[in-house]
Amino acid sequence: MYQRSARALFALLVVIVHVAFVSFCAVYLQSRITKIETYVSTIAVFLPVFGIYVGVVVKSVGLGKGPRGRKVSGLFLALMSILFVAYVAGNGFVLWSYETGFIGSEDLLPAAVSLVESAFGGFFTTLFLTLFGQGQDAERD
Amino acid sequence: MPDLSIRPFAAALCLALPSCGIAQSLSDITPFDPAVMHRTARYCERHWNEIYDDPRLSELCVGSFLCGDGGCETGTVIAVVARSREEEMRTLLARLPVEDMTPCDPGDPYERQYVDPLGGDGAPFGFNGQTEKLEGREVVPYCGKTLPGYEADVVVALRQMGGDDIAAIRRGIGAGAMPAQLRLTAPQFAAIRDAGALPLRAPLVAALETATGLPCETTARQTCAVTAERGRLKARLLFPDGALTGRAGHWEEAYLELYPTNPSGDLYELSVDMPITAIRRWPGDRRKPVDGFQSLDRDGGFAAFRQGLMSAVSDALEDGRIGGE
Repeated sequence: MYQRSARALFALLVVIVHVAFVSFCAVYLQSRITKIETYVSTIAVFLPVFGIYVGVVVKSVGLGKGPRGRKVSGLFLALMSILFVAYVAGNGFVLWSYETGFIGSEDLLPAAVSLVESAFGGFFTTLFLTLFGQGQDAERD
Repeated sequence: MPDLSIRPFAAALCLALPSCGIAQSLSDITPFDPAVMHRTARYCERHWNEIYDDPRLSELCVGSFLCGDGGCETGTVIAVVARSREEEMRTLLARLPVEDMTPCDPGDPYERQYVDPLGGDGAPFGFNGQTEKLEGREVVPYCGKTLPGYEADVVVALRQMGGDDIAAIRRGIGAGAMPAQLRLTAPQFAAIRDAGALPLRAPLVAALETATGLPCETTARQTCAVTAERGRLKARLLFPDGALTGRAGHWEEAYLELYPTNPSGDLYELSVDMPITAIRRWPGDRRKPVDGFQSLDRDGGFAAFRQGLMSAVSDALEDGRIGGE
């Protein structure tokens, strides 16, 4: 029971951080991107990974039992936390680069964001799915 | 990633280069004689209208002052010279107000048409009646840039030197391709041209300060640099928060060039080019952005901004301080 609550908390934390981050980006970039096309594409590349997290958590919560899955080791959780931090840091670095001028052109933003999203986001999402039992093994628990 | 870090250096290099390539000093320029120039221009007009009939003048004038429906392009001259007199022409060019004159480049889309002026299907545009005398000889075509306002003088000087060995013209432009212009009188044209556009600096700076409501100076918060360079007055502008066209939340960048032109006959104009207009959405209280601008073409806001500057400059011209009696 304790483990299940911890997982639920972790999942909600990830989703809340993501919602807050994407909302922040939407507001922050609104006053810094000239072309509406670039603005929409930049926000769009945040969304696939964002959608998976929200979908997984909402689905798990919706089952009425909270997120569940296989037993996982502490090492796995530590690794996952590190990846999550790296993922957040990657996106933070992109925004910081844009603010300081290292990324000089807004045309590079969608590519830079999708770089972080597809590398860390893809990695992290795979582990996230494992943790919350969306794999086939979950059915046998 | 390495590509990103090179950007600032490349930008700095681009800014530095045009000033490196200029070796000739302004003191070499032949003195402007308004009387002579006015006269040759008028004779050429008459010749064009077949009122004035003198074979000597027709040789001197055709294609020199009347190039096309849109007049002659500013700052460009084409000369086809017999190889035997090429060296002599280069010596003369060193004394003329020429910025750069080299054999035409086949890789350049505009210069390509002059690379083979005698072959192919007839003479290139503007060379009718000029290249026939060079038929069957070994020639070298030269494409050049003069200081603004000196195109006709350079063409006449080349024709006087070369006789039958040189065909020189100004390059024509089609109708409707002109940048914005103000009409000048001949004395105003002469005064502005001979002082290297410097007399326009004070009126332009005053007009900029009125338009933006800010002092025209370059600081960490804005760029407003007005310089006279090689006969042109150049203004580099970068202002936050819509000071130029009123786009709130945007930085606006514009680059202006003012120079005297003589598109045809005794028509004198002040050309006001604005080749760069760009904006970038970026908070006005932040550090001045250097790149990432989106360029705007034919933007109504910038056109109105230029219109305002031109009317202020026009007022300054009318009060008679420039080229007045």
